[in-house]
Amino acid sequence: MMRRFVLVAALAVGPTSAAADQTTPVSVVHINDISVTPEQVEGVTPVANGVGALVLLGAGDTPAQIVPNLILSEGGRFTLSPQQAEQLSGRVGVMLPMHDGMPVITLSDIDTLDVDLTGNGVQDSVSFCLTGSSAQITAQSGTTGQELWGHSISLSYDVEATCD
Amino acid sequence: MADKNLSGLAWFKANQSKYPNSNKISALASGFKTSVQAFEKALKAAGATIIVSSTKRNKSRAYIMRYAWDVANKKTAPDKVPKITGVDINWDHGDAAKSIKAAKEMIGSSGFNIAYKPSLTSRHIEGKAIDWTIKWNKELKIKDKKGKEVVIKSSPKSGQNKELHAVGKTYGVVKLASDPPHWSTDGR
Repeated sequence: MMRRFVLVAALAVGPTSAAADQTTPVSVVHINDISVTPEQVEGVTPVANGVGALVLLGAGDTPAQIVPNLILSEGGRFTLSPQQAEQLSGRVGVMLPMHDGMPVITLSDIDTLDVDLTGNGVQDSVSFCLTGSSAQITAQSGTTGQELWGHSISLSYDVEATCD
Repeated sequence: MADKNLSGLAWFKANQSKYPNSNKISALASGFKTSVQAFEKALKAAGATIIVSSTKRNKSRAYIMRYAWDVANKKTAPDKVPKITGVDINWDHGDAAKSIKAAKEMIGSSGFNIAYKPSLTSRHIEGKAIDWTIKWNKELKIKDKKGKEVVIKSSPKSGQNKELHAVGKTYGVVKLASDPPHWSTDGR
């Protein structure tokens, strides 16, 4: 059974707009190098250039972490400092844009991010877990409970599974 | 004289290649290997494209990864790491901070590049799992283990197709639905 943590880390970036009229772009990130190229999620608008917040969801003994104010270049690519790259090596997370109208990001648990992805003013959830050798990220509608999208990243090693 | 078996990035660079994982079907455990080979033959005969990324994973490599992670995250004291045959590594630098720093180097971006707790057991380590990408165009006419032709017209036209999962199961190659490339003896 997964241990429950209560970690509330609300990050309000710019003017909050719960009723934004556009969906929130999202990319999935696997940190393998100082220079990181986000993975595009099928059917989801990817983050573009600008400023982004990297939300690294946790699993098991690995805590959640938010890295704000990353400068994104074309295609949402970004560069970490050597220290950041060393600390975050191997982590999987989601990149969200930081600009006017971005909703509040809340980590309600180490493996669950609440954010309005659909622009309807309701917080949706993005959850994270590990299967035998991959990381799974799943977005779920806060309105209907239906899956909005899912993405899998192969880790190339076996891990202690946390998915139900 | 310096201990050449002391853990750290130097040990990783000098020794990690001694403990390779495999992406060869021939490396799988005998019973599962036969099942996978038969399924692979049917897939190829049907015109599917196959790329194998991982088969048997090295047990000693898993041990090294796990205890590097444990020491780096203060889950196991360096002097309490169990020894295993065939891996000469000294996790204890005689100083807790140095031992932890060395273990962190091993799991960091210049080392194994791992963030999550590695498992000491898995179907891959047993040689009973394969990660492969399977794709086809249009429809797939594939024979199950009994020789009955199954025509798959549904999407996705990849290893994620549920009709293909049923065909794989007749060969004893079972899909783990939540892990796109992963198939094993029992879907775990």
